[in-house]
Amino acid sequence: MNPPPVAGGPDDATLVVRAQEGDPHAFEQLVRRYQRPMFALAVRLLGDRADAEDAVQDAFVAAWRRLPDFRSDAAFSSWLYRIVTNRCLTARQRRRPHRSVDDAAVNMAASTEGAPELVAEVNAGLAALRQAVLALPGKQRVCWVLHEFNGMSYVTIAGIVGGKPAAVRGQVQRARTRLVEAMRSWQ
Amino acid sequence: MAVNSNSAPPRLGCGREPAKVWEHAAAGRLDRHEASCPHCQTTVADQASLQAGIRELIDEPIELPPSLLDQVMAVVRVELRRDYLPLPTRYGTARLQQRSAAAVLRHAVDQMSGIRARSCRISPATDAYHDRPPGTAPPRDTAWRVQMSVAVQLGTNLPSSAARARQMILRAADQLLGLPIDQVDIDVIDVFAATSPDSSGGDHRGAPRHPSPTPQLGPGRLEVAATQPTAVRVGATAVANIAAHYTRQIPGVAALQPDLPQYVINVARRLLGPDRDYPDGIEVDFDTDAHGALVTISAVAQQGFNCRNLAEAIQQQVAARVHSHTGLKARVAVTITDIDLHEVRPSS
Repeated sequence: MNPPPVAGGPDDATLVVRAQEGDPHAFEQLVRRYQRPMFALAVRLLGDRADAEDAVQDAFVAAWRRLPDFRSDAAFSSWLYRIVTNRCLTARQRRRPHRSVDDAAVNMAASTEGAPELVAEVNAGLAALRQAVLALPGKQRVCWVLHEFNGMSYVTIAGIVGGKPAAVRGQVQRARTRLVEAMRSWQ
Repeated sequence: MAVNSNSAPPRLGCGREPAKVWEHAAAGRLDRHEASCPHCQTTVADQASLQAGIRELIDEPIELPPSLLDQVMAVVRVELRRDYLPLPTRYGTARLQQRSAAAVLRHAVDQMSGIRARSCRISPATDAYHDRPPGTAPPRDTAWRVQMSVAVQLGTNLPSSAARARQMILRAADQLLGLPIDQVDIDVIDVFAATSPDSSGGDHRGAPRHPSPTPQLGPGRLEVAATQPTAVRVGATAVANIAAHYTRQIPGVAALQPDLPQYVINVARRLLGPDRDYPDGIEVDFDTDAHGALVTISAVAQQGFNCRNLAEAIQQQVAARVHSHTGLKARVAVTITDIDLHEVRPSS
C-alpha cells in the first residue's frame, strides 16, 4: 500500500503512472520532490556544485526519457538513485583529465562563508575528509555516501548499485578504512 | 556497477571483524571484549573521529540551484508526446490534446475526497473509428471510452466511490471537454490509509519505500458492480491491501509473513507477472462463478495470544472488511506461520 496523498501531493506511484501517460505536471512534481536529495547526493559524490547540477539535470532528463520502460512495481526512488549515481560516476570519469580532485575540494571549501580564520581552522580537517571522499574509488564512494549521509541499509544500497548486501558492507568498511587513514595523515 | 564480494573480510589483531566492531561502536553497543581490547578500541576511536567529520559535513547547508527544475522541465516540454482527440464542432473537427483531456478527467476525480486518479486512457468506444479509411475524418458521432484506474482511501465503499467517480468524469467530459463519453471503466487498483505520513519529500534519509503496487490489471480483478455502460472492477492488489491493512490491526498479529513454501510461490508469482504484487503473507484468488474472493493470509502471532482465536478473528474481520469495502464475498484462509517470541517480557 502506498502512503496517502497528503499535503505533499499524490504518492510516487500515482505521479509515475501519470507521467508515463505524458502528464508533464506529474513529472514536475516528482522532480520537485526529489531534486533536493538528488542534488545533495551529487554534490557529495562529485564535490563540485556545477558538476552536480549538470549530473542531476542529465539524470532527470534520462529518467523522463526512460520512464516508459520503468516497471511501476519497483520503487521509483531507488530507480532514480541508480540513475543519479551512474551519472555522477561517469561524469567524474569524463572530467578527471581536466580537473584534479584537489581543485574541487578547494572550490567547496572556498564557498563556505564565515569568519575566515576560524573557518580555515575548522575546515582543515573537513577539507581533508572531503578530499579523501573524492579520492575513493567510485563504488566505494557511492556505497559509503548512501550509507552514511542517506542512512540507507546495505540491502537498500545493494538494490541501487547492484550486487549483494554483504559486498556493499565490505565496500563501506573499506571506504571507512581509507578515510580514517587519510584523516590521520593530516593530524 | 554491481558490487561483488572479494575475499574473506579482514580481521583485527584480536580476530574480530573490524566492520562488526565499527557497527557496534556506531550503535553504542560494545560488548565486554570490545570495550577493553586495544585492537577494538583503535577501531572505536576511528569510528568516533570519522563520525564527527561526517556530522559536520551533514550540517553544511546545500543550496539547491534555482534553475535546476526549469532546465529539466524545458527539455521535458519539448519532448512531450503529442496525440490529439478529434473534437467535432459545428464547423468541422477540432483537435484536443489527449494528455490534457486525461489530466482534466483525473483532476475531476481528484477533487473527490478519498479517491485518487492514476491512469486515464481515452479511446474510441466503437470500431467505426478504427475501421474508417486512412486519412478520412472520424465519424462525427464517435463516442469515447474512458478507462481510469484509481486508488481509494481505506474505509470508503468501493462501488459507491467508483459510481461517484464515474459521475464526475461524465460531467467533466461534458462540461469541460465537450467530448461525448459512451463508456466509463473504473479499476480500483489500490487503497491508501488516511493517517500514515507521506515520507516521500525531504532529504530522503532511510530506505526507499517498498515497491508500489502495479497499476496494470491482468486477470486478477473482478467486476463488483456492473451498471452498464459503466464497469467497476476491483483489482486483486486492492483486496490484498485491504486484507493486509486490517489484519495488521488485529491485536495479537505480530507480522504478515509467508512460510517458506509460500514465499517461494510468491517469488514465482512475481516473476510470472506484475499483477501479482501483493503484500507479504497475502494471496488473493478470485472465483468468478461464486462472485467472491479467496484471501489467503499467513501471519505471525504474538506470544500470549490464542492462535485459534487469533485465526478466527482474522477470518471474521478480514471477510467483513473486504465485503464492506468491495461488496465481494470473501473466504479467508489463515495460516499462523510463526509465533513471535520477542514479545515475551520477563515477568518480575
